[in-house]
Amino acid sequence: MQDSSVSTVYRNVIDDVIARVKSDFVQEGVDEVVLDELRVLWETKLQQSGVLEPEMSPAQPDTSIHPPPQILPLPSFLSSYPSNHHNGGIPQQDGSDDPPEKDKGGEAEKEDNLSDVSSDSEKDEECDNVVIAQFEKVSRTKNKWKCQLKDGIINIDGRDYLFNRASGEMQF
Amino acid sequence: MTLLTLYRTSKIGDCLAEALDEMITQEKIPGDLGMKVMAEFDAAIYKALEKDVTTKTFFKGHLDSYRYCDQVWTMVMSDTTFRMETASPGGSTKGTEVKADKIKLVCVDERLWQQPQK
Amino acid sequence: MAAGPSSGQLPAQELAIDRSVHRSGIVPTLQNIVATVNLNCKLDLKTIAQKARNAEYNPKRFAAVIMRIREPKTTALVFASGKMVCTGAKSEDQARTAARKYAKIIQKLDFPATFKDFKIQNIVGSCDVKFPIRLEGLNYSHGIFSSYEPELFPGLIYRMKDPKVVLLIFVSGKVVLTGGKKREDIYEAFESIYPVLQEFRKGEAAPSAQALPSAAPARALPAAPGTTVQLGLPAPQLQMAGPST
Repeated sequence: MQDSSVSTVYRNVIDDVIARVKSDFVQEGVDEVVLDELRVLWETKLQQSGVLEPEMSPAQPDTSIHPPPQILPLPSFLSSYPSNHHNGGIPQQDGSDDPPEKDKGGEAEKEDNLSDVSSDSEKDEECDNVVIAQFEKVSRTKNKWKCQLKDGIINIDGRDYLFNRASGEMQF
Repeated sequence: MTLLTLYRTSKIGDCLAEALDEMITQEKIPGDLGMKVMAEFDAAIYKALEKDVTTKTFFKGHLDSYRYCDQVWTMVMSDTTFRMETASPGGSTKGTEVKADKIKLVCVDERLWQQPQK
Repeated sequence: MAAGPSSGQLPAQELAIDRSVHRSGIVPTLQNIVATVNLNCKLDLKTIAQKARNAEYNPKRFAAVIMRIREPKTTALVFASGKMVCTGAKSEDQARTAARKYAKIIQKLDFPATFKDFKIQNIVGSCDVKFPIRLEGLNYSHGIFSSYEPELFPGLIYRMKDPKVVLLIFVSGKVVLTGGKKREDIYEAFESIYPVLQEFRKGEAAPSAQALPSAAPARALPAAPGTTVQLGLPAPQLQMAGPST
């Protein structure tokens, strides 16, 4: 069914946004042609991003008219996230790669500055696949995690999948 | 971060932000109008996922690491299988299965949508 | 299952038990060690939650960061004061190793953490005597130490004075021991209670009959007269009241 296909949903989102801001453009005295240009530019970028399923894609826009997007730095002031959001560049600590340490047993303790505990700082692994969603509930029993999510966008291998509700089970 | 901007990091949000950035740089669109467009996108994508999308998804995988802070869960999972089920009006169900070696989940508390945004 | 030479209950592998410590032949398993340590510096919990892996921080509900590591499998509560509680370890060494790993993680996040006043606060052990127990009788004759209110909690609570250990005794024969500061407390407490449990073994006659040699367990009921078909009846289903640890 086309109704729930990603490209249909996205087309509706684009239409919706353009319709919502039309009066704002008028009020600001911005020509409606500019709004059309924004729509085309947005659609083109979305087409080229590869997130849409090929069989559902509307007719490809003529890319000779719309040159491929330049490689720009991430939009700065419109994005709310730091650019490291997806591939978080924050060094992570979990001590998991530590070699087994000698335990000091029960001997009298002086100032233990933990110099013998090795714990390499590590970065979050690169992760191109992402799910963005809202959670209704996240719970844990021992090492079994469960979550109930809603209104999600999954991006796997460059393709988008949408869900209204999702539930998951994970082993930690 | 404010919750409403959650979906700006999606590809469709990212494409809009890029398009706006270009046009603002070319001075075709004033910056504050650009912000207004993004704000309308926040509302529109939320409404679409809530009202237009019917797919139910189930997933199973290994939880490599997690974090909960500021009402956001971030989880890195590996060997995860997603089963997506979409009921068509005809009554049949279309199912798709997609696997990800590694995937990152960013989930915001749904209750934040009901609270007034600061 | 290979039976031990003197007791029908012991598998062969348990013959290595040090009988000078474990006269009963049963060694309680340590289930959880709770330890505390002072990292000796003030901590910004939000920074920790944002940077450490496997961290949860929800200040509206709980004023500590909850962290987990896989090896040794433990959970730590980290407070802004620099105090830390580590739970889930199965031995004292594990508890210390885990606590030091957490401290190191926090140190790596640029807090001047040291490892001060590490202390085991509680040791929880459990075991199974593998025979049912008459809790009412035990409660009646040990009333100073015990309380048994099956409508509130299915186990008998036995507050031993020396060593200072609390025992939860279930009709099934499962025993949970908690409050130990060292594992010897748990072992001693169990050895002290074991003869009492034998005394109140279900199916034994009056307590005076305890000297009866090799009293048959309750489940070995003779077939009722007139029973023509010998049913493989299971033992009267023991209440599995012990908390799943």
